[in-house]
Amino acid sequence: MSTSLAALELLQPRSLREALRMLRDEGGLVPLAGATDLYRALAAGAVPARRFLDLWRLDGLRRIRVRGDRLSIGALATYAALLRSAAVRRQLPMLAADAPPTLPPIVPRLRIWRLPTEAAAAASIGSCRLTAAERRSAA
Amino acid sequence: MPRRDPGGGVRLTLNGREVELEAPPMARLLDVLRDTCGLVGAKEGCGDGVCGACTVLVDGAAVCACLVPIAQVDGASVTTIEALPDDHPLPRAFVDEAGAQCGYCTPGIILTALTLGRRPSRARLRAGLAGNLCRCTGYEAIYRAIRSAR
Repeated sequence: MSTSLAALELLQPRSLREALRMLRDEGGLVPLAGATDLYRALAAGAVPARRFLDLWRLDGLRRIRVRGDRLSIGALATYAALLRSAAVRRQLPMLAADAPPTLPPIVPRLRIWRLPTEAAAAASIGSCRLTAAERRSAA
Repeated sequence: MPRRDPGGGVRLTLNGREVELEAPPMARLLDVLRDTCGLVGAKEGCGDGVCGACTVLVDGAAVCACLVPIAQVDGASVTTIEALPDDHPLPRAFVDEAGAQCGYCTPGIILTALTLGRRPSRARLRAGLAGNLCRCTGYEAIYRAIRSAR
């Protein structure tokens, strides 16, 4: 049975510091980047959590940076941003392999491993990782 | 602290008008548009972010409204197919070129096409519309319509 969306609570921090404080002080919060996996799981009634922490507006988590020989990809960096990033193509080309010459603008927030190369999108890296972590912790 | 409890309000610019909507923060943008705002141009297809029938523009970017929590468009500009005037060249071109058959995917495709610029190349069209599925036309008429729109 699907979960009623009306019963879910969403906390929206304005900064990473505030997000971390909420995670520390508020019990049972599940971080939310996009919502692809979450909505799929909610539709299947497979998410016990009722309280979520919205990371979407924390722009600092979108950065893709190079420091020395280290490539840093923010948790909200999107697949489309990875494909467009010269730094990613240079330092981690497998992430940008087979990128189409032009990207579709649609933003389906699909999990990265389900994306066909033609359908690059704005799935966020953190969304996938967080969801996977949540599943591992629940297992 | 910006906390959203069930039933909170969301302010956004919807088709050029500022509106305030009462909706649970995790309600899907698609449901709010259709059920609360009566804007039924965006369609529920897969409900999974794959088919693109629910495509709308959020701050100019094409997104699947079935996967967007309403709280995440607070302060954003949302454009649906209803924002296009009757004499807009894209819908007109879809009629002229038979770019729509059942029409279910058409609003989403037109909104995505708006983000592709004028007379996009065939390669750009193919890549750009990869997230909008059409099971009727075979896409050729859609490509013609978009490329012929003036």
